Amino acid sequence: MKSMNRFLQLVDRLGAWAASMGKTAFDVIALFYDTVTAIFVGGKKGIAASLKQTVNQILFTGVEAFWLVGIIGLLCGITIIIQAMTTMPKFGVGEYFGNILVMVVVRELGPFFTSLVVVGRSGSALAAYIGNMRVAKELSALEMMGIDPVHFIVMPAFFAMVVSMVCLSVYFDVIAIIGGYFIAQVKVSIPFGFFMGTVLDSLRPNDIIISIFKNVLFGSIVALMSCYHGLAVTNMREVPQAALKSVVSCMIITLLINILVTFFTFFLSL
Amino acid sequence: MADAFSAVDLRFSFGGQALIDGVGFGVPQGGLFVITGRSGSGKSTLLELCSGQHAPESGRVLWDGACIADLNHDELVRAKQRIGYVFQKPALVHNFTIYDNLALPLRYHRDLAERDIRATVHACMEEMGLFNVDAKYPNELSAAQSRCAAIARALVMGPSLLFLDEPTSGVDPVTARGIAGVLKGLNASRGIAMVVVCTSIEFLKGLQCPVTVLQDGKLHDYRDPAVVSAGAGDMFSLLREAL
Repeated sequence: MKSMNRFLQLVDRLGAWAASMGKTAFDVIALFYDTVTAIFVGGKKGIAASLKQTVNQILFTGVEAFWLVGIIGLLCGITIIIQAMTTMPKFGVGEYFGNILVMVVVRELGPFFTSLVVVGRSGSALAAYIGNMRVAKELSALEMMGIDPVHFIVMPAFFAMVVSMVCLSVYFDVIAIIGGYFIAQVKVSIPFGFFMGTVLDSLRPNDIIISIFKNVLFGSIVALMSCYHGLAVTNMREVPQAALKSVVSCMIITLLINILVTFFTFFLSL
Repeated sequence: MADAFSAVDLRFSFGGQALIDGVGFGVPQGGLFVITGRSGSGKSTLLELCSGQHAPESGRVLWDGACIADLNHDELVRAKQRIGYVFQKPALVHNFTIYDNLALPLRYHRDLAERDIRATVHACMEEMGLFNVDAKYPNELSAAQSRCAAIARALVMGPSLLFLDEPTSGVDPVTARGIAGVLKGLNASRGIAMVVVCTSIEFLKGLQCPVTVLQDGKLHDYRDPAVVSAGAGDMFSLLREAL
């Protein structure tokens, strides 16, 4: 009887969790719909204010993260290039290091590591920023002035995150490949022209499209989840919790999305 | 001509208790309606119902004769451009300068050149006694300046109806009287109808108008302005007399 009760309690909790996840997913999709339609509904109204918000967010998410993304890109590039150039010739596949670099850096590590930096820096900050606005009644003040908070805050953050993700990821790829090459010269010696020629020969349009596609998805997810958790805040205590939830949910979802996209591109032979 | 504001039989409960229990009142065009009461009596909740921030469980709220529950999204946005709301906290956008905060509703809703926006913003700032604060951020202002900036932002669109929730909270008594004088002047000169919630006796004395007390979810008493200004040295005495 006791174990039956425990089992029923477990089922009850699982059901409540699933219902909660379902509601969150529905709310985030609704927020995405409101964000996209805000572009067309708003029109020219408040475009100056929205542009100012977008520029500020790009500066914070993109420009101020340059140094961090650059360091991570450089370290990744060094590791991959050294491993590729010292290990692959032993297996007789040394001439394919360009393909490996493109697949690993451009398709996988670039978008993924960039998303981790953006989630950790900007996702948490955005959730806290919106949460603080909610607690200080700034969002209510906007609504009372007839200004839609989705148009004023979420839409600019959405655009800024997507643009920043794409640009940072390209920057990551360049630093990882070129920067990693120069540092790796300490261990392996290879002419730069030959190196770049091999990498560029291996780079196909599909690689760039998939990389950009992932970055757009990741940027969208970070913006939407961070805004969702920030908007859900009701009191000051929940602000740091919203930042934490934003980071955790963004990391899990971007990882899942990354695996799914990789899985489908493999099956479709893209 | 319809009243600037009407509330009809408003009801709202919180935690199973009736917080607003059949409240109804009207404010004529250019009128002034002041609500006071003990902390936790539901004054701010009543104001939030009146301004459409929350929907009442039953009852109707009318702005200029139009029931706000019947308005569609675009009509409600247009209606909100004719009202102003001053929150208990200043609620200024913290990463915008004071000038940008005041200019925000004008940039969103009016097709004005920047020089016209500047003229309107500066006129409202001067009316509220704000000088040389254009480039400052909200956290750089004193409590009194923040309050005045919040009121100026509510006035910048030229509203016909203003809701004020404790507009002098955290402000010294002298400044509270000053703000009351400015609001009284705006009410008289521009005919802006006002619904004010406050617990500051100095502010009430400065307004010189009847006072209504919210207690047990109902509006109770109209206080003669002579009684408010002459007697009752503090809010406790006033409320004790009224209740």
